[in-house]
Amino acid sequence: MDYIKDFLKQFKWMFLVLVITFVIWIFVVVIPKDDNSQEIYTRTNDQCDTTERVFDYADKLTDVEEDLLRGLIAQREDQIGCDIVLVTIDEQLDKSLMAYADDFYDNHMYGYDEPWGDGVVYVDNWYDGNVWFSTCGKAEHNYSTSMINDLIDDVTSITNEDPYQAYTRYVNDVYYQMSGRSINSFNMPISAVLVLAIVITIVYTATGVANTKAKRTTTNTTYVPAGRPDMGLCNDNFISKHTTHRRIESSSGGGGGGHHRSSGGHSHGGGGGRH
Amino acid sequence: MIFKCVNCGGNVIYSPEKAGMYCPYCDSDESGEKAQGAGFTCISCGAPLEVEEFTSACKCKYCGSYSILEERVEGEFTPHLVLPFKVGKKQAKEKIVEQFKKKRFIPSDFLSEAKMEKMEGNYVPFFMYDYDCKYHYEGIGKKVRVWRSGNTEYTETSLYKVERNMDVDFAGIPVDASKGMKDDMMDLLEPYDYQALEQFQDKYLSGFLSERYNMGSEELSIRAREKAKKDAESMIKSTLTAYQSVKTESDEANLSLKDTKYSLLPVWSYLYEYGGKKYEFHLNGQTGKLVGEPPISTKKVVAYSTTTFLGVFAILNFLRMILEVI
Repeated sequence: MDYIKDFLKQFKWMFLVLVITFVIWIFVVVIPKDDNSQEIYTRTNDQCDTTERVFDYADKLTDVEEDLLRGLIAQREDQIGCDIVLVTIDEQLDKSLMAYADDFYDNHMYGYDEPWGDGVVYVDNWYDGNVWFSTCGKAEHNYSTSMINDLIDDVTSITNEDPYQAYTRYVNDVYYQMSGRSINSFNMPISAVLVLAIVITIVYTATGVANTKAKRTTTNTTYVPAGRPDMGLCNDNFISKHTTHRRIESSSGGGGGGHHRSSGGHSHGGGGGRH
Repeated sequence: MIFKCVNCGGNVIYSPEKAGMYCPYCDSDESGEKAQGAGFTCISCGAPLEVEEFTSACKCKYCGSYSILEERVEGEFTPHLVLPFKVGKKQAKEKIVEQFKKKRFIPSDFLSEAKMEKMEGNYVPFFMYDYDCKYHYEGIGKKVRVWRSGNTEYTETSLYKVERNMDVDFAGIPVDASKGMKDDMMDLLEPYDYQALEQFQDKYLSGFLSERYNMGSEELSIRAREKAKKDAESMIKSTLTAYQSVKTESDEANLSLKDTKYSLLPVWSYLYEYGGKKYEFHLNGQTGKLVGEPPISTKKVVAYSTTTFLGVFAILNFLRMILEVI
């Protein structure tokens, strides 16, 4: 009985938190969310020469995966009012990836509101692993350099292992960032949760098993009634001195990015990375 | 010999809370008078007492009366001094509970009233040594200074001849004279406030267990000398902190014994057995300082850690999924 009593006493707070998070999970995740309140945009650009959004020239996705991405992109585009385009290639380019991405966007006259208007394109060149994320219209104004870096880091971190998950992440990240949210807290993989739970358990167990040993509470003068010794002699006589020297090596580094104009004369923002 | 209550005939004991003799049967103060007996039998109930080689005060396991074996606190065994208990049994139990109640893996019955009621107060025999120490030290001290100028780092090393002569008087270095008590645990219970030491009176032993010294003062003086020398070395070293390192050339400590006193010091002891192993806990009967490490219940470690892992994993996973859709 004492054992059960101790157990319940030990875990009452954890059980309470578990129940609370479970209830929140039911209401937020399990019961479908009422999305009527969310703003839905209507596409007004009728000059774009294609309805395609997924150009898998590098053939990294299956047909099913491409269809799933197209469905997700269609949903996200209407939620944020931006065209979302994905291009994978596997070739050596005779121009920069940035120019390729900008031209691709411009040539098809993408833009949710008008040609060369609101939208983004993500080009992934599997030939050399370079990627470029190009923004236009309100996306260009919305995206800061750090947001672009966050998106590219997030997507490229898993591109080699799972291209479909990476491109899904790209579409969702654009949605989150254009909705004014950070992408960082939304993509915690289950393995990270597992590791965190293991670490917390190890700390919990280690702190519980560790015994705090009693410390010595006497000092070296505890048994000296006078409180201090009588220093009859305390001499410090200088003998010698010598000096040595050595050279110190130094190093430095840096980097940066910004807005630019495409060959078609349209303003673009964006940034690149590598996987 | 026991202290009997003149009012009710019960066993009068020394109460740390009241700082005086007290009869727990009729609640009267200072009502005890000595009752003499013969041999190792309980004067209250006539049962044989469990007396070991060095026992000087014990408890009858049948009636609970505390007997004092006079011949073991007389003559050469008379303590010079005694430090009466200041911490009572209730307070001692509270201190142990306070110290260990947050230890999540201790066995469930470790802090139970039934187990802790068996805690006993002991007067542990100690010899207290007074030493005069003359210390001479010589060495080479090294000071190192490092600075930069441009892209060059300079290191300057200076050497000094260090000489120290120190006189220090130590008084009352305690060394326990009980084979049953672990030396390291007894050392950790220090210090005691010697201001409260009193001339020995046998009434202080009533209500507690006690031993006479198990070993002679000469035999134990080796430990006292070690303690004194270690403290003296620390004092010398504290005068050398200006140096990054000191190479010792001469290090001599001359200790001369000035006086030795045989004393009884108060210690509460809680003995707990778990998994076939005995665990000792000792508490300074004057200051309340506690020494001892509790056992760990493997069953609890496994059950609690598994529950923690599953619970934390579930909570984090729920949070992860919630954050993903918010």
